[in-house]
Amino acid sequence: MSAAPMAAIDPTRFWLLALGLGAITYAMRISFMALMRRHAPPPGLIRALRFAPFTILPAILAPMVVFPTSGGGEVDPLRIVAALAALAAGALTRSMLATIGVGAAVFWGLGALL
Amino acid sequence: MRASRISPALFRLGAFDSLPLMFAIIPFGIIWGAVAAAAGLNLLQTVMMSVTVLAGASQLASVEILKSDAPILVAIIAGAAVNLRFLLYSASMAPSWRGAPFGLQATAAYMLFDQPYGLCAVRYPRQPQETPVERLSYFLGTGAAFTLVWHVASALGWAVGARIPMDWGVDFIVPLSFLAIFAPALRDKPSWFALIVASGAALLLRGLPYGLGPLVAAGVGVAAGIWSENRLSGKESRS
Repeated sequence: MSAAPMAAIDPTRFWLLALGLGAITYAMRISFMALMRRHAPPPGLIRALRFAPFTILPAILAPMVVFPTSGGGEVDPLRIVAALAALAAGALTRSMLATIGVGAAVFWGLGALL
Repeated sequence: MRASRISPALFRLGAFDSLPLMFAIIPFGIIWGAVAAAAGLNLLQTVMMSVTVLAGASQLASVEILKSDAPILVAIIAGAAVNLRFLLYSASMAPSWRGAPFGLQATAAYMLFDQPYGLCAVRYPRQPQETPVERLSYFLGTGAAFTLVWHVASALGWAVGARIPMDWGVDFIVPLSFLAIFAPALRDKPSWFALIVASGAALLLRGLPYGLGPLVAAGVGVAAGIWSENRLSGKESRS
């Protein structure tokens, strides 16, 4: 996103990337559907997977919140406070909109005041 | 026959439940369009990369690398590393969809990205009476809604491009949308424990290459959740 004029990406290279990355990505997405077509899921897997959304999504977002790339990886306390406020609001109200509203109010609202 | 047809009502419900999260998809799609335009991609290329890959973060990462004249394979591997989490999403959805016509599963798998996955992963355990086809109907509704809005937003971003200001903390939107998916579903102590352990592990492991950090951290978090659940049920049976 620099202001300098950018030479266009070579079309062959672009299409190789679009098709190659697309094929690998789809293979990962369908992998376990294909596997479980013939093989039953191991007992215990379903119990373990109950925790999946509470672990993979926080594991992706925690580093984004604590070490944001836009600040060059420097810790920004406002982001941490806003994320914790959103987490608390979501768990208490069980509402998606309240989670977003509280997180946004703290991050952009409080951020503008500070 | 009836059991293999998708349910329009659940499809609509999935699309409806997706609406609050559009606040995250629209700016993210605009960013992809703007970055693609700045990298010299035309509108057809910008949209087609979303059609073939349909995973915004990996599209951004791999195009940035391709722009720098790196070998094509490096760009593909970097994008695939960002998408490694889809393996876990696939393992997470597969038991719930098992037994439904494979064509439906293969169609849904195409749209297996963060938001539809998250909405379904927290919904399915609470609706145990639903059949695999009913679960897929809900998933397809949410996936179609996000995919449609993503394409419109990325075309818009391509057209408006660098005129969009980016210094207002736009990178907080993705974490906030993830929080909106799982925070309202947090009910029990083992889930909280799994969440805290996974977050801490992810912060410690953020130096791991190829996007492995979040995957390993999620595995540690799941183990912590199971351990905590066993401990609680052990206490109950003793008392």
